Amino acid sequence: MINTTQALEEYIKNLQFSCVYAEKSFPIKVESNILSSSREAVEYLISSAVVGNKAAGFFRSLPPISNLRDTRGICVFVSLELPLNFSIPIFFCRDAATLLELFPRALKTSQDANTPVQIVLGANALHNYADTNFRIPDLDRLTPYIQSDTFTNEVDRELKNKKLSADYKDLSALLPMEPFGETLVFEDPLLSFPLYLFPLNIKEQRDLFKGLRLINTTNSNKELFHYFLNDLLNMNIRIETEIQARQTETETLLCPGCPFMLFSSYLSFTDYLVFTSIPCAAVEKKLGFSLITLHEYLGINFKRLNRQTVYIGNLSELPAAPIPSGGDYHFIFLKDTDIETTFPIPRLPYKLKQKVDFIFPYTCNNVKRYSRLKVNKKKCRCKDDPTCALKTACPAFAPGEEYVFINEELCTGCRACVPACQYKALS
Amino acid sequence: MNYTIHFCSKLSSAFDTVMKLAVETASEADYATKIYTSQSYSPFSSIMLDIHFIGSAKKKAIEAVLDFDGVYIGKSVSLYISPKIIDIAYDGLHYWGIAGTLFKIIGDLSPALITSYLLKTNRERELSVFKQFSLKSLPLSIQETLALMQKEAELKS
Repeated sequence: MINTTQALEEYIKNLQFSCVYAEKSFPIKVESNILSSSREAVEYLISSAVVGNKAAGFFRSLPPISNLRDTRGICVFVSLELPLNFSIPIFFCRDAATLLELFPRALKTSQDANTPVQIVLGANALHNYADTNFRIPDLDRLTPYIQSDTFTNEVDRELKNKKLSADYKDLSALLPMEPFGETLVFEDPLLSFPLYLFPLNIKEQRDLFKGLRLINTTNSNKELFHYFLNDLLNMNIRIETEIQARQTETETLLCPGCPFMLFSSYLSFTDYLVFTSIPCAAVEKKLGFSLITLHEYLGINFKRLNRQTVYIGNLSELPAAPIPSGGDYHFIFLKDTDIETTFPIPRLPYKLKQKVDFIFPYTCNNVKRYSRLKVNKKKCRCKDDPTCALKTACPAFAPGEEYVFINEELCTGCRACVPACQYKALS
Repeated sequence: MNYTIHFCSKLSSAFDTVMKLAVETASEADYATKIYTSQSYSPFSSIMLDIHFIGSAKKKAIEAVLDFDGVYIGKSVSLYISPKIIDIAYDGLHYWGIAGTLFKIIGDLSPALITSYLLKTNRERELSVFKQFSLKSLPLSIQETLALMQKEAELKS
């Protein structure tokens, strides 16, 4: 019995990827050695693989790949969402068993066909258990190698895809050959849907999906369902949909020391529209901030708006976009680099003197630890449903027998919970 | 009898161990298991594992929520067990306490695998909590609900 999350961690550790990028909000803890935005990381990983490095990237949603090249080393992108357009081979893992089967196969495909590959993890593939033999695939080791024309060779994608299909006939044979019936009900993950999606094949298969009616009855097939919606709409195929999914959910918890929760606790943003470039599904779900880039934000504020706005992003984004004068811009930058700016930096994250236009002392990747919080046992009255935990979505809290319990390993001392306690029991 | 148990928890190694042992225990008792997971939003987010323990061809299943960390916010269910309900503190050992109650819900599972694992790994405190809750009766209201659900499941099938 193996936990698939641990299996993924083992793959990364044992296959010795030299270039690893992971979005901070990716639900598995992966050590990243690249500090950049998701879009830049894709280019970083591909160019690293072009010269023979093993590269892996973990994204919630893989940004579009603009400059696809032949890779010499393995290049694998792991994401949680299926893309709208297929430019590289995709391996969809709908459950734990397929994840363990497909991960080594995807790596082999990348190595043999000299192309980046994408592994899409369905909700049912993460944090699940598989009763199969786990083994680390044996892959060649390469030495980084570069020639003068390494980065100038154009890749004919059409030719490449044809080659892929020919080389992997056994994989493409798994694509459905007959049209689906009128109704496709997503109630079992062992649905006869292909696990391997090649750019060329998917275009050939479009007729199979015409007139299809989709019914989703489970939560575990959300990604496949949305894939169908997105992809078929993209191919101008009209479909009827119906969602009957059961709504059973657990609380969404944020990371300890989450800067967004601190802003939410200390700076009431009711009079501001908040935008951010930091992709975090938990923040989006809990606080509802809109995800945009810095350039998009500057575009929005080209002329004065009827409402004040604030943009939260990483400080490293700043040099890429010189801020034009005259607009009604407001920023909060999270300090991920040491570049100098005119914005003030509060010494402690919970001593924020101004509402906007400052630099926050840390970012999601380098959360600082401060002296841990203590619960005043006499003052604390929320033993069952602590408001501090509910309001801050901090995983460090647990209800205790007589007072709230704080997990010392998780608490970063950020004090986002202090204003949430009406009894002033946290200090 | 079939059972659909929703296991809710924060991500932790204790929960992971409990789940592995629970699935293996069910397999040893000839239950077929299907595991579905919910999407997690951050590395610290709570998760929900829906495990179908299939013991018969009957279409009816007894549904229960075992909420290890009090994180369940879905629709209310008749059979809901959390540390608060079985009166145990959230001190890390509660994972084993809740695991113990699984054996009260699915009566024909044997706790031997978990007991031997805890003995082998010298986890005395965990073992005593596990034994306490796998032997102790469930609160009366839960016992009544469970009995009613079992009766209904038998009648309907």
